[in-house]
Amino acid sequence: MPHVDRLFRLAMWWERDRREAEDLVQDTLVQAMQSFHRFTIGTNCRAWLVAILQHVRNNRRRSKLRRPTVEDPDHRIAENVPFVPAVPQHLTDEAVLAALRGIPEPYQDVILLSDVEELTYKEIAETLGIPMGTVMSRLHRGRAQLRAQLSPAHAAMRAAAQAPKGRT
Amino acid sequence: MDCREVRSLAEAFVSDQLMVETTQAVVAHLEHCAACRAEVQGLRRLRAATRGAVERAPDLAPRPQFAAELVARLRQDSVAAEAATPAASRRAWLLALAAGMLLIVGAGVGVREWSRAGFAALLHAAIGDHRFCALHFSLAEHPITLEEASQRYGGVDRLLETVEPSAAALTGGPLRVLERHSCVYDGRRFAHIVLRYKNELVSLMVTEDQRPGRELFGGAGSGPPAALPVTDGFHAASFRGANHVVFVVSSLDDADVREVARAMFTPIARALAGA
Repeated sequence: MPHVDRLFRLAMWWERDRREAEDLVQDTLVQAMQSFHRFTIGTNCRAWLVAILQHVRNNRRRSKLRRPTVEDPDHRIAENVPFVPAVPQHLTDEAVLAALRGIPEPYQDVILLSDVEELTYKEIAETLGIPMGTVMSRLHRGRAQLRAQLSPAHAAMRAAAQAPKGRT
Repeated sequence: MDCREVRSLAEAFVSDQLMVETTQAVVAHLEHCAACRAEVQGLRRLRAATRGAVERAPDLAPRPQFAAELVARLRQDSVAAEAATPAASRRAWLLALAAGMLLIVGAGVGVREWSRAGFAALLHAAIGDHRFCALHFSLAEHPITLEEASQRYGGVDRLLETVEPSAAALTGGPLRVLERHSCVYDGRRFAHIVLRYKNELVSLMVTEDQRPGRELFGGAGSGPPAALPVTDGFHAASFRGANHVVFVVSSLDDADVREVARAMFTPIARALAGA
């Protein structure tokens, strides 16, 4: 059941709670069934489903009165990565997932939609309701931060920071 | 194209978002520039690693029963609410889910995952079969019944014996099945249903095709643009399931072919899902 599995993984990444993710997927499919007559035959069905998932997710956030991410990461100067390190030859799943969690959410979203869901830039723009230029710049900055997190130097710094402090 | 330009386009290149000419220019540069090649390979590695990590992460996996429970729940809802909404389209959608099928796409649109050559070859065979079998009765090998095909080759052909068009909205009058059989064109066997719509012959052809996991997408802007050649005035629509691809071919125009495809989608999905 490819559609359901993929939608669930995306929902689970966002919700981090199994029950919430299942509800999100169910609401998405109910909504899709009701709007099926509006689906344009010949267009990308998967992008359409992901767009509905995103829409349902946003509505739930608003109704829960949770504070949405107001900061626009594109303007945070401190995060700009001046040097983009090479991508390591060997990448473990754990390292990649940890690195992805470590970058700002708006960057995670575009990377998920581009690399995992394989939507076009246009589809990502429509799904997230942002201009295509923003999609491309977020992808570029997001991946640069991802690479920074995955670089051996960064890994070493992280290990050092987590090392137990010496007794005095 | 210089390295600076290629680096700025590298991400779009790796995501298949560049126009054909730009892609070609990048490829030409990569052929003689090891540094840019390494960068592009790194980007591909990162993209594949991200995708794989998310797809494999056990924490992100649904419960095994989730999908089945969900479809059952939706089916119940659908039955309960049948009066309120266009039931036929809801059911079609549920069947699509259940059969893992994708909705209809039209020819002349982009294809992902399948090589263009692979899909184009199938389309070419389907069109040839329509032309030489349905229109001219002039195949090299005689057609056989669907039942015979199932017995000989162990396929699902016999399940198509009772498939009838659904009562979908057809704007051009009735869609009638004239004939069903199994035939071969260009080395490929099709289950062939010949229909009549708006006084023209329409062929619906089902053939086995197993591609690992991935799906067929279509529509302007949803992938690398690829105009599949529409041969000799024939239009085609196609959809696929896990193990089969279905073509609808006719000299009717694109909109009519899609109407027929839409009317046949649910019954075909139901038949193949029962396989």
